[in-house]
Amino acid sequence: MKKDSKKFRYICITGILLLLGIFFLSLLVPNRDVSAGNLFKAFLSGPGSLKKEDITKAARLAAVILWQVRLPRASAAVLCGLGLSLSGLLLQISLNNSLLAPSIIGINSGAGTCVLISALLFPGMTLARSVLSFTGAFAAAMIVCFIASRAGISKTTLILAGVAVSYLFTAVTDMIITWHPDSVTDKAGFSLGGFSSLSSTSLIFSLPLFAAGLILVLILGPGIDLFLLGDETAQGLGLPVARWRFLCILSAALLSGASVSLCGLLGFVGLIIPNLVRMVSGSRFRVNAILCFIYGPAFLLLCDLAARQMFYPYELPAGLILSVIGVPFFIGVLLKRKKRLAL
Amino acid sequence: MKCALRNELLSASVALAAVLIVSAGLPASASDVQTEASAAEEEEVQTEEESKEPQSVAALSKSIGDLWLLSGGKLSGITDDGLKMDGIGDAVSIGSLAKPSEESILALDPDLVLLTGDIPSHKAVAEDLKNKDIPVEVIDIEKFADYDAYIREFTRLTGRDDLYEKNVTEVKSAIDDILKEKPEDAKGKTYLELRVSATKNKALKDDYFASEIFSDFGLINIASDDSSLDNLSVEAILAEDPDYIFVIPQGKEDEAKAAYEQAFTSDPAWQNLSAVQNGRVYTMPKDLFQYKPDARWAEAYAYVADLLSGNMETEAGTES
Repeated sequence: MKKDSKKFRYICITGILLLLGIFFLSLLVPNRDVSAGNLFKAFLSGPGSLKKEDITKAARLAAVILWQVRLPRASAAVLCGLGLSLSGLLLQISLNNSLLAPSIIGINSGAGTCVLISALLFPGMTLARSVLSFTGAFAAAMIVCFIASRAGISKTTLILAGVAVSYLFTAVTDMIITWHPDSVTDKAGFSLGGFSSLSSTSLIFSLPLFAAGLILVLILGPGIDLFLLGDETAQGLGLPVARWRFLCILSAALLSGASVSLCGLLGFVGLIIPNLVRMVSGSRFRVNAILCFIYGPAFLLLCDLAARQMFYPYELPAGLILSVIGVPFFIGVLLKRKKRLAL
Repeated sequence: MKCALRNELLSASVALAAVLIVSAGLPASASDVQTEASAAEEEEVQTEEESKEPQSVAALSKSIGDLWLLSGGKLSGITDDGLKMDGIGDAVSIGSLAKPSEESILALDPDLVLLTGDIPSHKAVAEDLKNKDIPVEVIDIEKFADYDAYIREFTRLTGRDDLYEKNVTEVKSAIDDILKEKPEDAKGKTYLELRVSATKNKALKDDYFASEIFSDFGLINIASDDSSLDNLSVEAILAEDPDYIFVIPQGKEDEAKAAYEQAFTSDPAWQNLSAVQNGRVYTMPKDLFQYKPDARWAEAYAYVADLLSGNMETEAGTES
């Protein structure tokens, strides 16, 4: 027990240092247009450096880039990282299936379809984007749960229902793009997800959704571990299983919907981060949630940093980097784990 | 003995019959050979003449269809975006711009199919049609010289040199006149060309046809390079700080305008751009800068000339 606590503390501290390191790197990394020195001076001067008039053009550019471009973007990456990974963790524990993730059971697809609909029906209205994104995420989650409850809630049924719903919403998105081909300038970028078209307004409007989702997680946290004992045992121990499960899915939809409204259809984070932290730290929800809170943002920040710096002044979609780095890394962890268990 | 003789006679008869059958297909005399050769040549000439002017032409976009109509041709089929064009006549729909219908195209029994290489579905259709030996022409217009070349080729097919004169030579002359009067203070200034849709903004590079227009006025595209990537970083745009920003809406203009206004007016980072502060952000008309202007190329130049001379209203709604 003491050993586990020590291990957890070690993983947390490492993660926090990693997260802070990547966060500051994403703010202060230089490129051909802005030097590390100017960025560092702007950082030390604070946001007030934007209003200074007696600074050089290079210093002013560094201040604008740091405070008005990189900081909102890094903040969005942190929020989406924790939102998607917590969403995945909630789904995996409440539905007792480690293969679930917002992207697999159609939550991301549902949110993405509604973001496109909001762009067509309410162009330029950021609030509509956030609200419709959550609506799509929640609708997809509810459809999956409905199908699974009628067909039998087995792991396979959930996955199959999720895949079917995901395909349905993807088909709707493709239909919208077919009828309105001009609605999406860059379909590949939209499908892969990223932060290149992030605006401060959309970040601000997504905060209530993130806040609501996180508050729900805090409220639901103590009861979530009981799901691991099975529905009957949990019910016997006083947990209102159906209501708790519904609220977990609602929270997952809030967090995913908010994330999709910022970063598009970023997948994979919600699958690999919860599985990675559970490999390391076991099954307790509180422990896993804290680690998702740390490592989810760190991973997504790193992917976004690579996406915008690798081919500067051009950017790649962060989702592309996420898949290219994340998938081999995850496969490596799985193979290493199998080898360790075999020994 | 009698049997052997009978067999011999039978074999000789079969051989004779075979020779007669084969020789029936051969020309009986040299004059016949000559007549046949003349007939074949005449048919070839006639075929050649017929192939010069395709009778059934399908166009897989409005602007491509416009090229053929400007050259004096008629269209049998066109995608939905071009059904309301002037001079379209009885042309039938052959699907949408993004997803043309190969069945509808084949139903026209086309002599020529015109399409673009920019859209993946067009490339797929082109491959299939080529495999069916249907003549296909891939249209790629990046500058006025390309438009010139295609109208020249098409007017040769239709025999309408007068239309080449009207739609190319006169247009080029008008462009030259406009460029003679171009404002000198625009030379060397930088610009950002932004294609805006409901969901995303994207910087356009020099291979976009409108870039030639801006370049002819001496403007420099900040997104000009050899990279195949086109998602320009906001940091790079801020660093370059272009003097002009030209917004080309994709899709419904009001939706795209609302989306980019939200990006420009609400995002603090974009407020730092000189073009935004000085009111030099311009929404360009779709029919001249999103679609190829074709015979209206000179109008596109005139639009830019007015803009650079300060005779155009800015996005702030005030005279500059």
